[in-house]
Amino acid sequence: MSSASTVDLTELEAAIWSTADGRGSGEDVARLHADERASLALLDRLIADTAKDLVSVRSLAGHEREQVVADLESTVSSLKALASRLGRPAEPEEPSRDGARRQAEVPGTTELHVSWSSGRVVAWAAGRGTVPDSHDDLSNRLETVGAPPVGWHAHPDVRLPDGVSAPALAISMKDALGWLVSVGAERGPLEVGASVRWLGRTAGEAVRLAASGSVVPTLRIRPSGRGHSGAQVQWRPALANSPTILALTAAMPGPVAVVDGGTAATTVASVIAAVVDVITAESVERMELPAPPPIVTTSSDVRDALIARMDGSEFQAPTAVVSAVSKSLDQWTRSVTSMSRPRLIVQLDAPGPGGVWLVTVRAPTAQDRTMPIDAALRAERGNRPVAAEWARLERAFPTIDRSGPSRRGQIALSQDEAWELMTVTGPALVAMGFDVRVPMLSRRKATPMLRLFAESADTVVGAHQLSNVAWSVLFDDVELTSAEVAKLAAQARPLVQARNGWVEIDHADLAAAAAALAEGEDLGQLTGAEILRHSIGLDGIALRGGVEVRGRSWATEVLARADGASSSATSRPEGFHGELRSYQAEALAWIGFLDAAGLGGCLALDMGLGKTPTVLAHLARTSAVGRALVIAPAAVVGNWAAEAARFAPELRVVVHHGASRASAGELVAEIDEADVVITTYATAVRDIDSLASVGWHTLVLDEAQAIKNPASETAQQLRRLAAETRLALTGTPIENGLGDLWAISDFVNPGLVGTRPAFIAQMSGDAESALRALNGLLLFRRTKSEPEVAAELPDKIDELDHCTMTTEQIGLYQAVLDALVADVDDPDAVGARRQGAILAAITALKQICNHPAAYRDDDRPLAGRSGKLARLEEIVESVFAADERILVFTHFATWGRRLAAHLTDVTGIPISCYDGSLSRGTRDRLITEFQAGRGAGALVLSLKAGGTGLNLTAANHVVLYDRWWNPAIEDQARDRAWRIGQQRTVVSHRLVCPGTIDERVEEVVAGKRHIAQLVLPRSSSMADLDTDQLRFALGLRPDELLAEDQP
Amino acid sequence: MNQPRNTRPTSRRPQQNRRPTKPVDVWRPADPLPDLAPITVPDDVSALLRTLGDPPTAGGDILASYFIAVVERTAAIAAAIALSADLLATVDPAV
Repeated sequence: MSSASTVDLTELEAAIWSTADGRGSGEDVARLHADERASLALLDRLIADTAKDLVSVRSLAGHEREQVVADLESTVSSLKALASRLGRPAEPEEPSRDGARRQAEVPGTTELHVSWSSGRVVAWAAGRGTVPDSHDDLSNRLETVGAPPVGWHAHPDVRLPDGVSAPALAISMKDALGWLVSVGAERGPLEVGASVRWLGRTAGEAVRLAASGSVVPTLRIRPSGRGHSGAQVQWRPALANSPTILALTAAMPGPVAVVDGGTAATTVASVIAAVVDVITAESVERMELPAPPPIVTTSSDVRDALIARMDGSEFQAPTAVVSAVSKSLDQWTRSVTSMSRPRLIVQLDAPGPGGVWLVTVRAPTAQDRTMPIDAALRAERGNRPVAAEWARLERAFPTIDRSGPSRRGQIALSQDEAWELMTVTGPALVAMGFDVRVPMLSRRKATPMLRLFAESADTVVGAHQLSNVAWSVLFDDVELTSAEVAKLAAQARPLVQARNGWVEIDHADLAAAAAALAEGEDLGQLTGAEILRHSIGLDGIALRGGVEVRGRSWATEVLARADGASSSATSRPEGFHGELRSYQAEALAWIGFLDAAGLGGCLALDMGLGKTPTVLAHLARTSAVGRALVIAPAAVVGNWAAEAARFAPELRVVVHHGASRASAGELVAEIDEADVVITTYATAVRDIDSLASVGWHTLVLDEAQAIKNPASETAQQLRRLAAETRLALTGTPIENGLGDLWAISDFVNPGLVGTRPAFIAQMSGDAESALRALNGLLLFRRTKSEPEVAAELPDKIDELDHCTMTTEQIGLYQAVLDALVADVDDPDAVGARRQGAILAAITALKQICNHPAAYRDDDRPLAGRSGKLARLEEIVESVFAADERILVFTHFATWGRRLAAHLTDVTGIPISCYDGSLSRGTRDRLITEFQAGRGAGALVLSLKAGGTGLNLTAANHVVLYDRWWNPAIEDQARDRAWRIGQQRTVVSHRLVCPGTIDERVEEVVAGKRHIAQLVLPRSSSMADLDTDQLRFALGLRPDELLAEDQP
Repeated sequence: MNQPRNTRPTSRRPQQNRRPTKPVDVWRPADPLPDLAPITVPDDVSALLRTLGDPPTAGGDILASYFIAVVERTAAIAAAIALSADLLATVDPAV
């Protein structure tokens, strides 16, 4: 039988080779299929043989090695393919972990591995079918992965099951522990095999046991003859059967046990014991121990020797005595060292209606169930492990004994005790090996919120309608009455059961809630406005979570609409020629909400974020409903008109401003023909009677800081303007304090936000919290620093600000022009003199547009004498309010120095002037200081000295105070701030006085005019100059001029 | 295909002296490692030892005090090892 079988196998093998090589006859194939099981078994052998040959060949040297390896690899592949054709399933893919690092070694890769052998870590490097590392390569590899540089010693080669020997080095656990734990924690290099990571994780679990105090002493006995034994103290792990350790046992990679061949369970136990031994030995080394007894004969001697020899050194004692002590120690610790110990369950049940928290202790049974501890104790026989665990629990949690023997394992806890068990005692009991089951307790304290429930008997009509209100307080999702709050306040650890578990309540919050509810009880009825004020924290006692308004009232409807406003945001509103950014679309939706609710509001977008287009989009949408009045500083009236023409060309816009504006009698007719009337603050005040006689649908105050003083004439007079919706636009709603915000809020919604003192008191003087409270309801605030806003902004924003001319400026301007004309008209004047006079006059006129003192240096104060200076002061104020920095460029260095001194006086912040008269060192210092500065700051620079080469990215605002003929020079100046390193959007303001030389320069800069047309209006010859043409080229144009605007 | 294979003698692959059992595959894929949790050190590291009561020997209370001293020092050293491996749990300031 066996002989016949041999012959058959030989034939079968021949058939396999033929078929695998693709030369097999039909007979060969039939032979393979005749007994597929035998064929597959033989195939397995042949594959294994060839793979072994492959490993051997790979370790060879020589230039033919590659070819032989390829040949054998091809053979293995052919044999496997044949096995597959005979029905052998394909080899599974190795699983991957975390989607990235492979759990198993990659075939063909030599990796570092460790084996656990006789209490030592044995390192070697190999892989499936690879050439193992030599000793030198292994040392280098260990160094690469951060293994300890010392402590390694030679170890016999590790024999791998495929017959390959891997050179190895060994190290003690003491020397390797730190490295292994780091690798196990995935903090070290990851270029190691799975066995290294596993040993590191296992060592880490042993460290966890030691760190939690889960180590106990034992006494090892070694008979030494003649009735004596050697004894050694050894520490061993306790509670070493955690789910993590069990999972590690199941996950042990093959290389770990390749030297000793132990089971995973014994290997894990051995590794953990070794780590515990290393750490406890280190700790004992740091203790001062008494001297050992010279002779150990009694159990007391054993105790003394045990103390003195806690470092593990051996002592001799009579076997009978020392064995008894050893046994009693083992018995003493068995309840925490036994792998099969019963894990008692301490269960805390949430209180029922009686408010009593009940703790019960249960013991596990053999059937994977539990039973009351009392029954388990009574049923127990033999070693009584449950009794031992119960005794431990009684020591760890003495409260459990309070019920006495009749109700063993059942106690009622007060709320304070329950809190203690959930937070402190419970985790400690878990660390001691008990199973603690308590209701979920949130780790954070509950946030209190006042709930106002409003009920209106009548139809919801307006802010003055009275509603019945009821008050309660919410702690997370738990609603409490004042009685319940009082009850909780009496407890040391107040707890409430929220939807997601139990939550602790802060006593201070309870006190605040009680006070708020007490105050609410006196308020049985509130108007809509009062309810709204409560909702935003402007009335009543504020709780941390604010106020939630429920029920049915005017205020609840307003709040619901405000909440839903953003859902109607659109970036391309009807009638608007352009696209709004996301935050502008939201702002437009918010203005729509105000319009529908009959409320006013403050649109507080940062400077440069596009308030004007946003409001124009709203005005374009509502022009059919009613007309709008826009009141703005004179400097931006032109901008409003230009933006309206650009973004809402269908709007009929009238600019009511200047000497040629419509008279009171004409105004009504003019307004009748308009959708939007744009005027200045001063004109509005001057013509207030006429304007107040019109019913406006929308009133817009741009740069609404103008009304921040409610007692000012401007604020008082503008209050007379009746409008269904009042909008205040400002980039800085709070410049000097909460009073600014109140003034604006009270203007747009008279009476709604309460009195000024109450407003400031309720907001606790905190500007940011005030803005937060109002945001989205009575105020819409977005800043450039918000990432989602910044993401939509261009790198730079260029703004053109039209500035007024004061009476002094106009008079001086005219005088210079008249003198020029007279000069040029002088028949004695020759061409060169005329040319020089004109050029000098151009410079003089530009200086006058800047400031009279820039042309004719005087000692008089600068304030109030220049429209440009007034506008600059406004810009600087806004920039400083936002804690940002600004550069101010001027062409005139002397004027720059006066400007810097003036701004220093006005703002109280030292502001320097950078110009060519300074030494290089001083200039460098100015730049360094400005760049290093934080918060509000400014630097004035002469265009010539500071326009190029400097890096001033600390600033994100630039003002070009006067214009230069070449736009590239201005771009270079702006680019001091807008350059590499700048993280924010740079806003650049160009100040221009319309109707003056300034505007002519602007036209030249814009490419609409050549400079020659100014100097030589008609021909290239100076002699041809006509004085009328000169006046036209350089003179004031009253229809374009923004004259000083005094009410 | 490599041509020389058709001349391969079958005797080149002896069938005798094979081990009857398949060798252990040292390279087999292992189970994934359990999740890594930070190491916490309880306030009272000797609590577990104290739940056992005093050691059942004469002068057990003295012995217990030494055992407790070892446990406390062991926990301190273990915590230091955990810290150096960035494994030590930090206290959550939000709690």
